[in-house]
Amino acid sequence: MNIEQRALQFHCQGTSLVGIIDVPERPHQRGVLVVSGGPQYRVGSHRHYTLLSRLLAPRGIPVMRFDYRGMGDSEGEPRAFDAIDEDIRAAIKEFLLQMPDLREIVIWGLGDGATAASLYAPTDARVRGLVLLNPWAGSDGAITGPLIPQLLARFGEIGFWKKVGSRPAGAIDASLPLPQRIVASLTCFDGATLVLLGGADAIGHQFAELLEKNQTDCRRVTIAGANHTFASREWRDEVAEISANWIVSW
Amino acid sequence: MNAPLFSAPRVEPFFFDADPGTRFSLYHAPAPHVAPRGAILYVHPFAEELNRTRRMASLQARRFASMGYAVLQIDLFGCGDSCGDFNAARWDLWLRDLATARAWLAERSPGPMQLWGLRLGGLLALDFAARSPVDGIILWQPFLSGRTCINQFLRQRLVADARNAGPGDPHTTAALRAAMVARGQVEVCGYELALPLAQAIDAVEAIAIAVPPCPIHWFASGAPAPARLAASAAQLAQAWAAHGATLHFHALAGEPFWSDGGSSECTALLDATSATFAAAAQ
Repeated sequence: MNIEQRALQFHCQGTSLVGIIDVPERPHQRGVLVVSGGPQYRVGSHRHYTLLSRLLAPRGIPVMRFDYRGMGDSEGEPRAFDAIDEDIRAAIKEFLLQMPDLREIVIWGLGDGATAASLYAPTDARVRGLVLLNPWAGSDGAITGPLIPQLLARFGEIGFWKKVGSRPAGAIDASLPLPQRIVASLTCFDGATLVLLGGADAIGHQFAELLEKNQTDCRRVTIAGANHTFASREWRDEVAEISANWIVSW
Repeated sequence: MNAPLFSAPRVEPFFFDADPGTRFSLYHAPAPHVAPRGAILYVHPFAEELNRTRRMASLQARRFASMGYAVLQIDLFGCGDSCGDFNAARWDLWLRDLATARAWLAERSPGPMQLWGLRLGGLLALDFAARSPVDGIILWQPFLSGRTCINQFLRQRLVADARNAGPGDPHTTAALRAAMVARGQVEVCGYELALPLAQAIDAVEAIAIAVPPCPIHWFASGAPAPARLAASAAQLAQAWAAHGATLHFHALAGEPFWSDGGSSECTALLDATSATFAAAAQ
């Protein structure tokens, strides 16, 4: 399948951002937005995200990669990974502008990019899927006990959040500890979630523990021996293959 | 309301056809309200150092553009957003890419042409300039020996292996080099380095390059051995003077922004570079 690569410049609150879309000749109506983790720009460590696009696009999956404010080729001052909601929203807007037939967005992120993706997902009804690689759950160490019961008092019934649907009341309370925000976000998110973990990554292990303690509903795959960034052709290819198959499976 | 819109110079990202495939580039047009000063072609570093230094390259490119320079950043074959696999990249192919980029940039900016290279990009810029003379060269923390660059690169694999060692893993750069010769390539932190590329890089030494007769500005952090660095600069200045080039060595105190885990910004380097080139046009 022919792929057209589009280099883009668009804006987030007046700041110029740079991105790239790989547009397949016959695009699937579900597109992937890569949110890079830090500090890494849209190419990814060892060109991970560039190479991922090259596997997904020939299978009909459009892929957009971009630099949020203060990162890579984009303007602006560097920002924390939990302060890029507006950047992700601007990227999705541009993605849909470039590909008007796109119906659904899957956000794909690694490390704190995965964390940013999970925090963003319940705030945007266009996001129907998440692929989270070794998400960063903060440096607080072990998570004690299930978080959900004590959380309900803080932000109301989960059913309420789900009913609000396309116009949620906002992101999860940012004053909560990061692991609680992640669990709350994933619980409120009514799309599909795939978690990919590196078998040799401590950050991935910590996240797996968090999911188990809170019985969060998502598909989980561990890639044996892989490190935090999946830094080898073998691991990278496996990640891309699993991602591609999963994205078109629901 | 009626004031002219002097917006900051904006970047133009694009793909262009090259042989083979396509290359990703960023063009920073010179600021419209200042006198044009010519063109600067940026040459990026090797492997993951390209990623880590992306922000610094972007910040300085914008500063150059606001001074009136037309700046082009190109991702070489097998690097960044350009086509190709890293293991298919070759030194000669990179030199050809630079020739293509230079021709594109010269069409847009008829003034003087300068090269600006960071780390291994500095050495590549020097090698390119020996074949395609330019009006000036800017070196940021350059490798002066290709072999040093490859050894530093291989050492990253040793560090990664130490964390997650397999029984048969090589323990020295010499052993990694032997493995590379045996298999034709070696994987280092997700990058497959092909033997022909490693051999070509190994063979490049800054002091042996027949640089064009032009000013060469070398910006480097003095740490950790300022005396040794100054001695290298003196040696290079002498060797390059024979070709009519003038070396200006600018030692500065700054963070190793190209290395893992450090800060991605080095204001001292941006300021020193900008001050040098702002003054050069007076």
